[in-house]
Amino acid sequence: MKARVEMWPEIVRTALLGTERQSIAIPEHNSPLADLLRRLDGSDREGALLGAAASVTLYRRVGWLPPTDARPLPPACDDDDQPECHPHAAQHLGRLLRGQRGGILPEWLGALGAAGRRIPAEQLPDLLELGRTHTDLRPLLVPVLGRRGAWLAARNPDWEYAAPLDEGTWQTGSRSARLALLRRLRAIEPDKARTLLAATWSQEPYDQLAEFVAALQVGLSMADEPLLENALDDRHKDVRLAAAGLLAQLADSRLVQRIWERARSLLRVKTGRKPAIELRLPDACDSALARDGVEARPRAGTGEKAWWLLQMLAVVPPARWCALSRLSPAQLIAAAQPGEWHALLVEAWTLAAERHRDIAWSEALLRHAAYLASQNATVFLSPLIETLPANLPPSRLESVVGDLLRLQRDLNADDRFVLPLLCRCRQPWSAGFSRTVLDRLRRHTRLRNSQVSWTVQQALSTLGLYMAPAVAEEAAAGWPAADDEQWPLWHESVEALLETLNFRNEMWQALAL
Amino acid sequence: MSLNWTAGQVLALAPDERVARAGAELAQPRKWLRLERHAGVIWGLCQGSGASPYQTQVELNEPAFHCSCPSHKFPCKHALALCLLTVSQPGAFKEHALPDWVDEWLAHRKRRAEREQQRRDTLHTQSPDPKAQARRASAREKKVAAGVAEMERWLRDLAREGLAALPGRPSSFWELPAQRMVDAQAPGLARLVRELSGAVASDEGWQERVLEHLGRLHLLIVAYRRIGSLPVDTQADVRALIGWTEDQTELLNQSGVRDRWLVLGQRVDEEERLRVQRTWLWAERQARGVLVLHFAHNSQPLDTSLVPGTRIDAEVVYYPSAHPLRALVKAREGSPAGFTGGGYATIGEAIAAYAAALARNPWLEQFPLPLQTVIPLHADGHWHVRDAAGHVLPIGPRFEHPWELLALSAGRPIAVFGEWDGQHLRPLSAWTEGKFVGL
Repeated sequence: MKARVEMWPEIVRTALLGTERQSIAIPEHNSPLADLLRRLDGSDREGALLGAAASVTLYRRVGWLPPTDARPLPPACDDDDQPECHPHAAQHLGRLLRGQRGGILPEWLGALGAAGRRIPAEQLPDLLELGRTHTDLRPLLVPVLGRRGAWLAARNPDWEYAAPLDEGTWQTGSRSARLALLRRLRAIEPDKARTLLAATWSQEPYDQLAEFVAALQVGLSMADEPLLENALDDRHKDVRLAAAGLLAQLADSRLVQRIWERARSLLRVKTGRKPAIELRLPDACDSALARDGVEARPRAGTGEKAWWLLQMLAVVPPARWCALSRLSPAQLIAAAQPGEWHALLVEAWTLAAERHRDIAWSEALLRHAAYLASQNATVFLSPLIETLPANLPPSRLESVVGDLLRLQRDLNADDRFVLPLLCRCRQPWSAGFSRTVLDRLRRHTRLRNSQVSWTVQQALSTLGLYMAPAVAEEAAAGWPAADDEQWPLWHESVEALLETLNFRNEMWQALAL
Repeated sequence: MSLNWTAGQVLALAPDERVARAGAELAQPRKWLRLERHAGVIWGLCQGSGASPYQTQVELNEPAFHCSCPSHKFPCKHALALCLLTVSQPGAFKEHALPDWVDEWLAHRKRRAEREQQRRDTLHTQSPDPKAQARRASAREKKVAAGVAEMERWLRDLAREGLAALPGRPSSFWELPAQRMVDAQAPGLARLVRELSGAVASDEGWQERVLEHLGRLHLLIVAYRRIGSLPVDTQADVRALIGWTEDQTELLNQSGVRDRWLVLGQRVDEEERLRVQRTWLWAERQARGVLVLHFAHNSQPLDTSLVPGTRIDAEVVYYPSAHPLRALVKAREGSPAGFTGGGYATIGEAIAAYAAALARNPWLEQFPLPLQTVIPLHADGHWHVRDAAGHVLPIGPRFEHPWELLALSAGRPIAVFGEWDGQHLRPLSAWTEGKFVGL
């Protein structure tokens, strides 16, 4: 038996050297294969080698038996409770993954989760891979992976972020794995996550620690305040700054209280028939202030003391000014207008409103932004437009923006305010608001001799992402006719709008199947 | 009449990614002026950039497409869109009598099929000019014989010098003999030479692989020299491998084998200016696999009549061989039905079938392995499938979708179909929980 197996290596050796140097040795034992080989003509060296190669190759191939693996199988995945989405919805996902309309993917994933479905098995690898590089997708992706997706992720180190949560990873995992664990755990059990971090605090390298502290943003609450207050004394600046940034968001924290005490002595509201605001600049940025996160070195273009004041005011919950002065946000903003500090106050209050999610102030500031736009004071509009819309609940935001849209007479004249603002209204729009905006856009495209504003064209293409899918069908009507002389200017953008709306409409319908 | 297709199967008919995307975009009722159906035929009018709308029609049984748009792609985006609409919104099509332009197309197709059948019948009964045929045949035989003799000399030189010298050889060492085989009207030999050169360039264990190829080539040459004394079926294998082609018309005139066939999987290989589509079918009653080949030159369309993941009733004609594998679909009945399971219950059974086939045709290359219950596994950096008995088959390193396979299985047994070449399995599709997925 053994001789048979050794024949092949012998043949290979001979073949490597070549028959010039060596000829094949015909075996002597008895077996059907050896009998066959003995029939080869030994005097024809090449023929014998090639013949032997052909015979033994075929012999090995035909006689090959698959190996056995007796190792225990890895555990199978439990059945999923959530069903997969309908094949039509899977088709939409396929198109989104192939790069068409990638911007709609977050909405699709959210809708999938809301419908209580999960990703089809064969599309899991592509999505897991996408989540590896696009960390912003992960919070939407992980809930719709189902048990199967988590099981799959556990088998590929690249997809650690989606594997089932295992607290042991905190002790043994890589840096990125531990960070991912902390973030995910904060979303479900924030206190437990904080306890984990507190336990290993002193052993963490400082740059990692700063990242971990920043991760406490998820699920931030007053329960985190003691740990963060202690962190203000940490040896490393990055950790201190990260902690200060988080404490500034907690209105009841000691840090905010300390800053508030200072701020009220610097900003005075004079009430009366025409309220006014008096500002005093701080004298110094002492160590206590630095501890509370105020950066001493000013940014370019701002004076030192103004910079410190700005940072302090940006920490104070703006509602406290109203309580103190008994004035509404709008009145306070109006009071800030005359004088050299208008820009600084608006900037500070905007940051503060965002930090503390103050709805009343956000609305008031937005309306103020409209006034600024009309005065062509566009310089500091961008930060307002960027941050404020996300603070307002959808109905409130729609009401404000609706008003502002009505007030804006010529969309061409404004390309810095209303249209960019509309594009930042990223929470799903109501059908009513969508119709209002559509009507306005339609009217604009029907204007004679209207110059083509690139901003309007852009807006047309982009807004299809946010309008209510329910208006998809009626959106097709009302545009200039195909033979209208204005039509070529708008054709492409309107088509883009309708395509996007229709796609979203179909995808929502498919997810409801 | 309903169609058991999925949107995925429709999109797989697209000639390229752009057409697939365009077709998906067009699959909305608002883009069509008319959408109607009658007795297995659907049609519609789509407004394009031209003056009058394009007329698109699809006969669902085949499927066969026709569109008046100027695109050279086949099926065009309009035809694809119509098919996608039948899947996603069948209610959008209104039952209607056939309009003239659809009727004309159907009649035209019918006439063409009849003419084709007539042509085959006359060719069959007519005796072609025997002298001219005999002259051509004998001229080719002479050329091939000379080519084979030359191949034999080249092979023997190689054996004499030894394999160790091969990696250093320039590409002309391989290209010149290959080209000469093409000139000798033995394209199969040219392919074998090129495969041989590919094996030299490969990684660890190349010496053994090269020797295996050499052995096969030698066996072919020896067989050719003695071809008269071989059984008829083996003669067919030898001639096919050297590069003789069978006359398809002749074949189609023979009576074939009727069965219910699962369309297991499909892949397309792109060579220089030729695309080769390999479609595997599995006969339910006879429990054997069959390969249907289609070719397309340059930008010609490929055949779309066999859709993986469906089941068809058909009569199939085999090419002659000691182990018949390649076949042609002669006739079909009814419309495609939904997929069901089928294949080998264990890896042992499957490999035994492979061994038996290889013993009959020693030059067998790809063998279809539909494995009914295997678990895909990832261990030691390699992928393989394992059956309940613990037997294991390795999956080829160039397989691009092992994670999809693992996701479908989730650690449990599924049905996998792949091509087996004696060393690696190349999965082409999987079937589990009522879902068919092409890989």
